[in-house]
Amino acid sequence: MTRAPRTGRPLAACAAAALVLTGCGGTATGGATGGAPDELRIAYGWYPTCFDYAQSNPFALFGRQVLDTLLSENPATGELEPYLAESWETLDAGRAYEFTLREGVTFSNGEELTAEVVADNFRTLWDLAERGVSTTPGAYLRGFEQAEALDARTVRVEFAEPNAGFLQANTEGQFGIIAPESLAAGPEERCAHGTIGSGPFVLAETVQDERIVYERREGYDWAPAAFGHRGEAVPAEVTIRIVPEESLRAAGVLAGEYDLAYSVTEAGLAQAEGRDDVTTVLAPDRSVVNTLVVNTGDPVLADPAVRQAIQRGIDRAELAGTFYGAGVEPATDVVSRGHRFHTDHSALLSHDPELARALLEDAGWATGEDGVRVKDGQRLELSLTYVGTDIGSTVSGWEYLQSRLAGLGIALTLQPVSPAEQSDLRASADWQLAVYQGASRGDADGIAAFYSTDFTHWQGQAPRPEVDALLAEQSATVDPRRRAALVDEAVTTILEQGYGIPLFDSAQVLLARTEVTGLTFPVNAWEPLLYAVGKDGGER
Amino acid sequence: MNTRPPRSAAAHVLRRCAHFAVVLFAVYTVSFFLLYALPGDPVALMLERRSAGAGGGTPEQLAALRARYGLDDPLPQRYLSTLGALLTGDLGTSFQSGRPVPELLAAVAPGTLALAGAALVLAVPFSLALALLTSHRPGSPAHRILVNVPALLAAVPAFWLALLLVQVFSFGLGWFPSAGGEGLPGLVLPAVSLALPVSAALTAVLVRGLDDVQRAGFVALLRARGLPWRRVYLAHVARNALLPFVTLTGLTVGGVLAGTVITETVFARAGLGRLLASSVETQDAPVVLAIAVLAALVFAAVNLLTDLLLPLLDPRLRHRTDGARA
Repeated sequence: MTRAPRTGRPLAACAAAALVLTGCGGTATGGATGGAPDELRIAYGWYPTCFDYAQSNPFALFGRQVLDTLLSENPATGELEPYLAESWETLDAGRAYEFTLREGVTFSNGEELTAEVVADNFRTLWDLAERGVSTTPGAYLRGFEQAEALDARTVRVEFAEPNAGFLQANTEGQFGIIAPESLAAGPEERCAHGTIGSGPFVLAETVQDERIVYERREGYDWAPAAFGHRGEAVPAEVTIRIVPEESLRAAGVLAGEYDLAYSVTEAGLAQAEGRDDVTTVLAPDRSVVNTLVVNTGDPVLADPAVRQAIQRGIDRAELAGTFYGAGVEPATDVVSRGHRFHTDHSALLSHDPELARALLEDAGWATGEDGVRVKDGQRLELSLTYVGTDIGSTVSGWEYLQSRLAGLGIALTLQPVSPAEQSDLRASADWQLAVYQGASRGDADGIAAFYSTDFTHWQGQAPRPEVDALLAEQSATVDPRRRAALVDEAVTTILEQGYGIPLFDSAQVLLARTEVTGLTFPVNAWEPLLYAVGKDGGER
Repeated sequence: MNTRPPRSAAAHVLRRCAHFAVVLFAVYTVSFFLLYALPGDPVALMLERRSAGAGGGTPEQLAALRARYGLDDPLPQRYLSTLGALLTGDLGTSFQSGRPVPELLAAVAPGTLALAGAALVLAVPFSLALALLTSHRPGSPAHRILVNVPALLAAVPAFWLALLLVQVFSFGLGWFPSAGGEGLPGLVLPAVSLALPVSAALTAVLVRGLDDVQRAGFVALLRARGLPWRRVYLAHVARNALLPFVTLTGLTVGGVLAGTVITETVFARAGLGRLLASSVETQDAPVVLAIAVLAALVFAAVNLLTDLLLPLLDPRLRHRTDGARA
């Protein structure tokens, strides 16, 4: 997921106080209400440190607007559909792929989309990945050997081993096809000035920490069917204002200064209560859910009974319902509900404290004098590290977890850390339980990246050959049914063995004015499709 | 009391300049060790943030990037090489964005300069006027009421004031933009919210000074000679009370710079304060170091200037310019 810093709570609390004082609820009469009908105004919390999507996942909103990809995914069916590629073929059991490109596509600088350009895109991505600056596309291109133009419109990409996730990766913004001019630029330049794509918008203006303006690309005519609109983009101009203070993003929507605000929490939603000119929009995540990562290499957590007791000792519905706001649901699988590989495994995650206690008793963990269980002189004490500044990380939620586990005889210590400390801990293998959410990727390889001990960047976990083998096999299996079966088998083992403790599934909460139409999130929560967004009365 | 013979003005200036250099050097040293001795690998953190949880690169890739940023050298060596680079004007490259630090600073510094300048332009005359008004008739009901205003202003949290101003004047009345730093209208609310708390301290000190000077013997003497009170008050009392005010105004520059962190965040303005806050969060050491040294440079320069200015305002200081006030 996108991890973005959160501004301090005191600000939000005081915003509420200020609202009460000014009686703002009904007095929003700002002169800017509505704005121009074909200008979209968005309030967003963070200025991108890098405009190149291939190098920077967290700022998907910005990178994506100028890019097209070879394929698109139909959000309703999960099927892959034509985009810049008219057709494609999987060859040699997933070791090679051939794409036939659409004709007449140009980049916004006038350069033409050709098979050679696309081949060069893959070569450049692989080169950047090998230099360590674009790790995500590197993971998507696992086993890359070469890319070549067979003729003016046909590209062939070859891998050393079957890469079953490659087609899906071609719907992700990291694989946005960029113009030769941008391919020639170095990674720093791409970050600083963005890349030139063939997408429906062009980057018109950037003002550090203040705003980013996109303009509609004249003559754009190659949107995929899934976008639900043809021709040029609906908004002529999109202005994204960087407003770090969350309550002001919400207040700006209420006052009509913005059409849309990203990342709104309870304080902002409270302001909007009772207003019929704004609406809450939930953009579901599509990733490995918020999870307790388990260090199976730790002496205490090496005992499966301990892991299973935690798995069944948590009341996820109560945790999500009490401590988190709109858009947060109890986890039912290792991935979010909107994920292509989601299967309902809630039976393996249901709350059963009696079972949890029995598992611990049977494994020899007897209750000690102070209520903490002991086995062979080892107390059942665990430490949970979490990054307090992560969105969705609420201390009271972890305290609740602590109290419920105490009821089972497990003493949990909470250890808030900075992102840097977490990064160090993870590499040191000296951790027990940690809170983490996986990256947004709508393919089973996203599960593998999180749970396979071959790929995970949480060091120190004991190898789990069975799961690792299943996850490796699925990533080389092209047949969708066979692949889904392998994934399901791996996930079932993961949940039964408590290799990970999925907690809750979150969504991005947006506040929008009711006249905003056509807002969808076909790829993921952080990538609204602005191309088709209109305002009532402003439709072209 | 200093018994050495008074030194020349040139020696005084030199001495002050030496202090200036020592302050800068100390700020660099403390900032450097705080930043680079902290736990956490900035390169791993950068890749982690860039990949948003998708995996932070292989150990070999991390090692290559660390080498590129010179993070493998021993700390003392990096301390010296960074100092050398700073002295030659090389501020380095941001870990997070990969952009040269001077480019980042240049993009946002004008906004902060405008904001801090506007806040001082509002705060200094406002506190002067308020203090002169308060102290004009000691003991009067106006004095008793107005003397409490600075405490009230100081008690209002800066971010709360800023949010209140946005709610009322931007969202409520629509007079000023709520976000962004464009033009004069965009500067008004941030400057006011930054200026008010600063005025509180300035006013309080000046009122105290004015009240004290009024009790001095020479004031009674001047009044006994029949000089009108207005003349005594403005030409003699105010002039004598102005000295600590000038010193405090110099110190206030520091407060204003610190205040920009909150003001720029609330008003969604680009600026050094916001850049500093986000860089601290991401441990972007080169950027934090550059801003710390820059802030120290501005702060020390302003105070050097007020130090050199004081003897011009107060003839008494011209004869005991060294030692006593160091």
